[in-house]
Amino acid sequence: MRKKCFSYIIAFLIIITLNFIVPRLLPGDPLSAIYGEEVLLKLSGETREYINSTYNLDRPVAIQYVLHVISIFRGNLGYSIYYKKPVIELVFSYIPYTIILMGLGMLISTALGIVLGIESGWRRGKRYDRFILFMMIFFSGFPAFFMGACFLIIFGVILDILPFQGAKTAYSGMAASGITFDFLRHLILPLLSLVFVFTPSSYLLTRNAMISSIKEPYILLAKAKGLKDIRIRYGHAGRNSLIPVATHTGVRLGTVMMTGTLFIEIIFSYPGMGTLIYNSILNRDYPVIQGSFLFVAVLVLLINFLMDISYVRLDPRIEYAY
Amino acid sequence: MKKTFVLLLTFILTIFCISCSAAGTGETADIVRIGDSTGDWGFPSPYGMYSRGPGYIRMSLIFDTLIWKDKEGNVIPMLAESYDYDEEGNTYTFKLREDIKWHDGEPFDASDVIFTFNYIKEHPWVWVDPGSIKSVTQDGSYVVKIALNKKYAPFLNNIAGTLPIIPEHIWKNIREPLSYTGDDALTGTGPFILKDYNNSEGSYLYEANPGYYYGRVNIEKLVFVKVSGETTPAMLESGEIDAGSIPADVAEDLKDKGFIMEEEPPVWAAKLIINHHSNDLLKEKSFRHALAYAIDRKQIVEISQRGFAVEGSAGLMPPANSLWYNENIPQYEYSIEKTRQLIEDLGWTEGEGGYYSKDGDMLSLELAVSQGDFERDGQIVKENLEKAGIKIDLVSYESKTLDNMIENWNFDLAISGHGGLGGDPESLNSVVIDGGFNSVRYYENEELVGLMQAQLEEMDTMLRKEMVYEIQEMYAEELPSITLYYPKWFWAHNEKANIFYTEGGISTGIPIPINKIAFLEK
Repeated sequence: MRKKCFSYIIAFLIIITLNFIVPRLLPGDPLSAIYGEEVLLKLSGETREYINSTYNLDRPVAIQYVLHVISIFRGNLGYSIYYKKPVIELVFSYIPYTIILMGLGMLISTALGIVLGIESGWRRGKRYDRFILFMMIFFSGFPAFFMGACFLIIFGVILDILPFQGAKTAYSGMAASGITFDFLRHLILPLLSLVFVFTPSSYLLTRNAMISSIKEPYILLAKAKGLKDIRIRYGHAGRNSLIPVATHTGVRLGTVMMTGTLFIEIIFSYPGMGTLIYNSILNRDYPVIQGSFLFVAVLVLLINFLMDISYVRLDPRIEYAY
Repeated sequence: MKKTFVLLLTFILTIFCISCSAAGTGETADIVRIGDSTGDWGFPSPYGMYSRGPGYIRMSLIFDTLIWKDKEGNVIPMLAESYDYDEEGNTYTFKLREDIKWHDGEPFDASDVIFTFNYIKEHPWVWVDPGSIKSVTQDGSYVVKIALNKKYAPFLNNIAGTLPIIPEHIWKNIREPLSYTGDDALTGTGPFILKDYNNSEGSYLYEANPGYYYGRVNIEKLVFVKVSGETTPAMLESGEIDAGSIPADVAEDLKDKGFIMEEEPPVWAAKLIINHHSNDLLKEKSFRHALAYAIDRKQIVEISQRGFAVEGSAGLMPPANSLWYNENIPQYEYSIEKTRQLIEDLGWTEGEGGYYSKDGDMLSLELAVSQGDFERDGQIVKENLEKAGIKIDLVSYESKTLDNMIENWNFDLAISGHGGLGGDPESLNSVVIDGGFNSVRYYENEELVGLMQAQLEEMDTMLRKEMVYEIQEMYAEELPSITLYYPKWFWAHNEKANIFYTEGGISTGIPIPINKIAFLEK
């Protein structure tokens, strides 16, 4: 376990360094990216110097790196050049939406994928399996933005039964309970789009693992023991099919957080980390790029760490591998 | 089971916390809601706003300038009830109103104006260059004299009508204005007071300033919410917003449904940028003329812009800027014959595949466009130029990468664009001879450079107009870039949102139809 912790520390240090280097390899610089588009600005030499010195952009890159590392260990992720706010404050204002949207999306789609995958694998080749398999393969072909646009048009515009913009009705004047209801209504369409997009991969993995599991001798033994069908399906075959799904979910988290939800956020004008990261890359806002990627990377490391622990729960034999 | 319960409880609590963060900021009936596709334009203090037009608009609702513009673009008094220019002493004298109070009740006077001008010298503010100002002094509590180093014609528009005056009693203690977001940072004299700003959701809630000196504010609340451009029409129809920028294609439909259309003056220029700096062929003026004749700008407007654009003028200044536009400039009408003639005059001969070549080298150029923005324009320009015998390699880049390539002269041809051409003709200098990010940095013609600098010092509007006309003629002849078109953009609103465009744009020329005087009783 100590060895594992050490490898996580090494990974963290590499991430800090890459987070610093990669944004600076992008062509352009924050000053031209942020101020370049507006012709009406008067960016005299003095003004440029003032902005550069305010954000330490005039210092040598090596010094900037050292300051960056020191800041991180002090818990300071820097100051946004575009948003003019501390990065940590920015991340905390965006991440709750992502956690809600992505977290619920992952949770529901993974649970749904597992249940459908177990049922499908258990009834392999039968009508139920063929139907679910067809539907999943069909939906897995659609990109997130397409699903989002379809739901938006159908439920938001044509049927006009659900809101399709933002996370809540701004300044609606509702009471707290009404606002919570309003927030949940705004969540439905983006969440539904994510669930439709994420479920097929969990389903297919579970189904494949399930098909292998049900051929194992311990299933035959469980049947011979006269255990209830549902217990064999979920407690024996199902549980042993979860390892690939758990790995897949952990690995996928970072990608989902940054790219998977980005399109959904844009289509539904839903605030979140995807939009923050996208804008910060466009604006070459180095501190925000560094800070948000670091945040996401740490979150992924943490979830991987939890996954490592959960493997042992799912399959105790893994503990002997260490 | 216990863990699942804790997890669920955390989710529910987070949902509750996020959703309740706006509780207590309820609306009344007298509220105008404006949709915006970006949403967040920064904390609306002069230093906190994002440095783009919509950021300035949100700030201008809270902070006033010495003078302002009405719908027709005429200078109207604001903090200053009158002004006077002494040509001999090159000094502007502003007589300030004596009945103005800051939002916190403190009285406003000349010391605040002097403080603001001094403050931007110490802490540069990107919208105003105080380089032309020699001194700012007061003559009593309500008279301010601003002496200039040299004659500066855009002073009223670009400085007095743009610089928001900030309260000395608050800002005198602020050393880092870019990061200052304290409660008193939004104390202005303007018609609105900000009640809430949510950067992640891109929403703003303003309340009318009941004691506004300039007139009674005719709405109680003004709200900006984030709405994507494509869904703005649906939001307008459902009554969720009262105004917003809409896709041009739905303008007629919305008009039929009773909405009022505001057509944004087409002053944003899409240009073919030419590397006249490091590409020997493109340094040739006649070759640049050949390119201009080969490009069918009508076709670009009809196909790429679906008719919602105005053809580019060779002199750069858009026809929509009626005060300064020179309509007599000869344009490069589409003519492949003229293109071929000009290319052949430079010693090129038609070769394999219909492309020109010289000394065994094919006439070939790279055309760079930014992804998503100008790809369709790029394809039409490529087809046009290839038809005229110039091989074009069309490549698309991420927008900021392309900006960087243009800035470093690392391209042949590129399609890019900028706004800012609706106001004072100082913007021509910004995009032709200044070293700014959007400038073509063209210094080959000294007469043109001299004339551009001189027009800034010509205080007689008629004489200045003649100079600006001549600049456009010379620009059209030199052709350091080819203006392809000026797109037409539309805003739709209902009768509740009585918004309008300001002739010449707000302050330095911002073409957004949200002039704060629209919310005042007439």
